[in-house]
Parts: sequence; C-alpha cells; structure tokens
Amino acid sequence: MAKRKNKTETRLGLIHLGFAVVISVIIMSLPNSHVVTTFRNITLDGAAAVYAPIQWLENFVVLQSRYNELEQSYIKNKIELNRLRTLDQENERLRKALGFTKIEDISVTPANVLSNSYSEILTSVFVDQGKNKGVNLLDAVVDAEGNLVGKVVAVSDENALIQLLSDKNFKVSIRITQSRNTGILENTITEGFVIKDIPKNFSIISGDSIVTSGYSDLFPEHIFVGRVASISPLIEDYIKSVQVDIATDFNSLEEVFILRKND
Amino acid sequence: MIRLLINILMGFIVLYFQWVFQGSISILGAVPSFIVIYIVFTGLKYGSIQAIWLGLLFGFIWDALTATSFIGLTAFSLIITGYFAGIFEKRIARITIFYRFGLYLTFISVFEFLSIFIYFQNSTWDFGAVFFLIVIPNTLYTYIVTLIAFHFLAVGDK
Repeated sequence: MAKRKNKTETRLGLIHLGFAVVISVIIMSLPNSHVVTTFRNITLDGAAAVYAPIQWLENFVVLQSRYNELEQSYIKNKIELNRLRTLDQENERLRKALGFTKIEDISVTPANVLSNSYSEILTSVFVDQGKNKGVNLLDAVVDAEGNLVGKVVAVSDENALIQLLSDKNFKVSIRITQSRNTGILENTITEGFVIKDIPKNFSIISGDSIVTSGYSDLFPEHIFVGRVASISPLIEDYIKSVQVDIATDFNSLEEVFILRKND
Repeated sequence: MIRLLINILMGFIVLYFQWVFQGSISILGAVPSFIVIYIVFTGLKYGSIQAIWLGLLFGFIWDALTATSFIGLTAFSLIITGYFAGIFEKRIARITIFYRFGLYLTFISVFEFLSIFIYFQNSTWDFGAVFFLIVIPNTLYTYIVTLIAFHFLAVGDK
C-alpha cells in the first residue's frame, strides 16, 4: 500500500516537473513576447513600489553629504562649462566651414539606482525612470562623471533595467583618442575588459583615453569609457589586444543618466 | 492552503532580501543564492510539487528583475533543483549528517551548473574559467550559507 502511494507521488511529481519545465522553456524561447514583457513590466513597477521606503530612508541619510558634494562640483563644472561652450561654438563654426554634418543633440534623464545586481553573472541595475519620462529601449546610460555605464534592456512606465558594460553579452564600438584607432571593447573572464584584434602597426600607449566611436546607433560618440591599461604581446605576430581600465565603478552606482538622441 | 500562502510570503521576503542586499554581501563577485536555499528548504520540508511551482514563480520574478538575457533560466534551474530536493522530503531525517551535507552540496551544484553554464553557453568565455572563477565560488558561498541556515532551521531533525 505504502509502495503504491510512493509510486503515485513520484508519478505526480514528474508530471508537475514536466509542466513546469515546459513553461520555463517557453518563457526562455519567447523573451520578447507580449506576456513575458507585460509580466516583466509589472514586476519592475511592483519592485519599485516595494523599494520606495528603503530609497526614502537612503535619501534621508545621505542627502546632506550629497548636497555638499554636489555644490562643490557644481561650481567646478560651471567654470568648465563656460570654457567648453566657447570651444563648442568655435568647433561648430569650423565644422560648418568644412561642411561636416551637425553633431547629435542629446537629452539627459537622471535616474536613481534602486537595486544593483552587480556580480560575475548578474550585471544589471534597476532604475526609477521609465517610458513616462521618455526612456526608450536601448538608450545609452552614463554615470555622474559621464562615463559609459550600459544600455536600457527593459523598460516599463515607471522603471527601467540597464545592462551594464560588464555583462558578457555587452560589446561596444570604441575609439582610442590619441591614436584614433577603433575597435570593439568586451568583457572577458580571464583578461577583464579588452579590445581584441588590433593590427600590430597601430601605435597605442598605456594611459590613452578610450571613448565610444559613434559608429553604433546606440551610443553617441565621445562618451568616456576608460583608459588603456596594458598592451598584450603580439598574437601570431600581426595582431595585439589591449587591456582596458574601465572608468565606471559599478559597485557604487547611485544615480545614472539616460541619454536620448533627439531627432 | 494557509501553509502555501505563508511559504509564498516567505519566498517574497527571501527574494526581496536577495535583491536589496546581494551587492553588500558579494565577496569578489561571488553572491550566495538565497532563493535556491529557500527552494531546497521547501522541497525537503514540503515536497517536490510545492518546490517546483514556487521555483517557477520566484525564478521568473528574479529573471524579470535582473536578467539581461535568458529570461526564464533561473526558473528552469530552480524547478529542477526543487524537484530533486523534494524527492528527499520524507527521507532526509533518516540520512546521516555526512550524506545530508553531501546532498545539500549536490542540490546547490545542480542549480549553479544549470544556471551558469546555460547562461554562458553562447559566450566566448572558456569552460575552465567559468567553472573555476564563477561556478565554484558561487556554489561554495551558497553552500556555506545553506549549512548555517539549515542548522538554525533544524532541517532534517527528527
């Protein structure tokens, strides 16, 4: 009797397992379906609502020190802005004279980071701005210093999920500013952030700045990414790879800025 | 029914804890998975069926909150882990402590192997590096937390 009961329980367990596995495989196969996207948006908005009290408390505790920091950086940036405005006007005049196309106009949406799931396998952050504030899928994201953080991969009305530059699937077209070389930057488990397959005759030195190239539709050009850390020995005598120190500190992201190209 | 509702509520608390505090408890990029500990606990205490469906629910919610690719992978891994844990629901108290600790490690390894290796299967990262630098640290960290948690929860005690 007990044996038969056990057999029935085992069979029932297997049936439930089968159903649940089929559902999860369907979800994996259709990540952009209406049902999955709707569930994801509801979850993102629900999580933000639950997180609101913690965010309020965090803001309350750190607000004064943040205000002092911001006041200091505001004055510095104001001076820098005036200098850059003059340079921008000069640059604009010269570009016009040379017949170059207009530089992209970008608008910025600030957002608070609600949860940072940065680790080797979880490389996303969740922020409190969404479609209602004009955030779109695949918008570029930078930190308070203007360093590249990642791109928007899911967006609900009030919130968005940002894939970080450190994600294994994230690749970005970059330019090394001194030498003007371009390449693809990616995160590898053994070497960290690298630009691979650079021809050996390209002259690159440690400390060169790396910015987005603007070749991709996703990222506006000139967003700071990091600096050349080291250059690996030649591979098969004709190419080399460059290790990069990323400027963004993913562990301490508190607020980010979502960039949107204006038409 | 009330027991199920309490378990679901517990699941949300565990999920919330994982979501909010995982950044603070990460050691060199390794993060313990409280969700898998919760699912293994559910399986051992209440059986496979409950562990399977709670695994699907909380795995999917977790993926919705964090995943940049393979949405549904955590759910899939938790379902399998929950099922295996549930098989030992009635037997766990009769198993010696040595084998019991081995079983916990097996459950966690199943979850970590499935979720991490499927996640990295389309990347250029090589097997050895993923295994030694990601799977092992995450598995060991989760295992240590499991042993502590199960000691306090008196899992397997008669």
